[in-house]
Amino acid sequence: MLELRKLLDPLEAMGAEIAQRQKEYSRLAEDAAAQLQRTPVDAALQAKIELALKLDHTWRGAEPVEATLDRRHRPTSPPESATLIAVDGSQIYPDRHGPLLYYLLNTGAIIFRQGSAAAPQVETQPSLHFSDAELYDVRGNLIKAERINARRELAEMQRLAALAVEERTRGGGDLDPLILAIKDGQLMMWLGERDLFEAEGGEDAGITADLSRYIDCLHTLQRVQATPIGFVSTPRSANVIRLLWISALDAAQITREEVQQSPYRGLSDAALFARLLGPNQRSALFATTARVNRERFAPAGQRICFFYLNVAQRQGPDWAQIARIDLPEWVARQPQWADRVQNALYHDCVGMRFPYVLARADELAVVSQQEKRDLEQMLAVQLARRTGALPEPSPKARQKDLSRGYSR
Amino acid sequence: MNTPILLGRVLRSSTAAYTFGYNHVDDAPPPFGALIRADVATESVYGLVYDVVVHDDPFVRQIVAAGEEMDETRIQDMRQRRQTPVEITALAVAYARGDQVYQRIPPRPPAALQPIYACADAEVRRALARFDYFRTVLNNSQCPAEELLAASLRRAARCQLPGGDAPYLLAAGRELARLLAADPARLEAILRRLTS
Repeated sequence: MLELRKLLDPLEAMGAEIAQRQKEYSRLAEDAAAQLQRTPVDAALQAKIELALKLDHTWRGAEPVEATLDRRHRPTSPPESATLIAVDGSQIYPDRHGPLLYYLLNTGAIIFRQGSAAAPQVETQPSLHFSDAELYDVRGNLIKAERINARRELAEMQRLAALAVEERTRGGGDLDPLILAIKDGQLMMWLGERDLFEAEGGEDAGITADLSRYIDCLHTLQRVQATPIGFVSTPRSANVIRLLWISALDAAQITREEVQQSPYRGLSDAALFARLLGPNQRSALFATTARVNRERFAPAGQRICFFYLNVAQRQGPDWAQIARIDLPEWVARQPQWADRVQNALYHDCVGMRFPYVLARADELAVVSQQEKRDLEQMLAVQLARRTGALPEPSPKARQKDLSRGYSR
Repeated sequence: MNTPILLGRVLRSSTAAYTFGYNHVDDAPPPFGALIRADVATESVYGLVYDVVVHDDPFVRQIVAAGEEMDETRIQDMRQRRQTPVEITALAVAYARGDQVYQRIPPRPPAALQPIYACADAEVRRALARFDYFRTVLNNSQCPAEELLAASLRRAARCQLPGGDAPYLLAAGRELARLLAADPARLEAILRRLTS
């Protein structure tokens, strides 16, 4: 039970704080926009980036990929009918208080052929994981949620690759028609520094193997010329902001403390680009300096880049809806890549300010509480047939279920 | 004999009525007043369609509220691929056991997920050959009884053998006049709907 009356004072304080912070962010964004416009892409900037990474290898900045930082591009070529393949995933985490220990991954996918006027193709792919090797890490601890998330991301990417290959085959192998293979969130497989460190230490070969499989999927997509896209809605990332901060410093001023303590703290790239980008306008292309990108994706020829895109229909910063679009660098070497990708994504966001195909993939992937209870009942019946006894939840889980009105 | 057309499967049911999910997006759903059939063990439960509901959900509402020009692919996705079936409810008016048709409430309702079939002309003639089900319809407060009787009779008349429709409707009218002798306004309401 939440006693709202006890939060009245903190709520008032929070409102005042947020209003004050918004004013401050507005001033900072103006300052950052000026810095973006006056900063050239040159050897000096590259040297500052290298220095920042040398001082702090976890520095999550941005490297410019194009000749100017303040590029704003709106497609000049007309939209074409693209095929959008979107995949999203959901999971049931293992519940040590539950009657049975398992985890479930479920991917939902949609193949949407723009302009076809035909119903799209949809599918779901659930997978149940219950063996000790799947449930416990090398130290015998129950698998962490982060690892399950990474496996879900791998499952999503594997479906994207498989569906893209099918779609190309369906089209007779013609590589020209545009296919976007879209996932929700960043395109890089999420790996924390600790996970990566453990993988390097050889303590969990599974992490390294999963990452390799993920990158293999990107290679598959490249082979069939399907464009991998990570769509990050309302991004909180500040890679470009961090780049702008070190660009404003003299090389001699760049210390580990300065790299980590930016006056722009709290300001996001989205807040900056909301001031700069009109509808269907994109920013310059950048590459994230994340360690996994530099050490795993880039050496494999799959360096992940990103740009910001305003997917709103209406003009003006107040209406702007900034999304971060991740894609591999090889996409940006294709002619007309930006117009083709931008047009297809922007068209799919019409009416929702978010890709329709991702909304549908999410809807397909989600596992409801009722479906989870049904699944656990089916599992319990299977077990009872073999052991003669129904599995029991822990007393804590049973008590929680009772107070929430559930029955397992 | 033609293969019966599967219309959908039962979502919920009682002895008085049953509701099923219809997902044949390429075809129009069975119309108001159509006779349908659910098989329950050794019986077939006949029902008259009296309510067809197309559900919305937050997703559909968001798209409609956006007011943008609708992409045809999105429309087909919404209609054909989303798990929002058209729900159709039928009033149970008769059941068959073997060759015998009984025009009364069935002894048991169809189970969940039981298949629902459209009735061919011969089956309509057989199930609605008598008019004992009129009372079931007229006494039901959940359905628009006058509209339902008129619609079902019009459809049943079209299922008669050549030349059989007028005698069928005449016999039905006589039965209605007998049942509603004390309620001429209701009788007139049905006859008007039947003939207009």
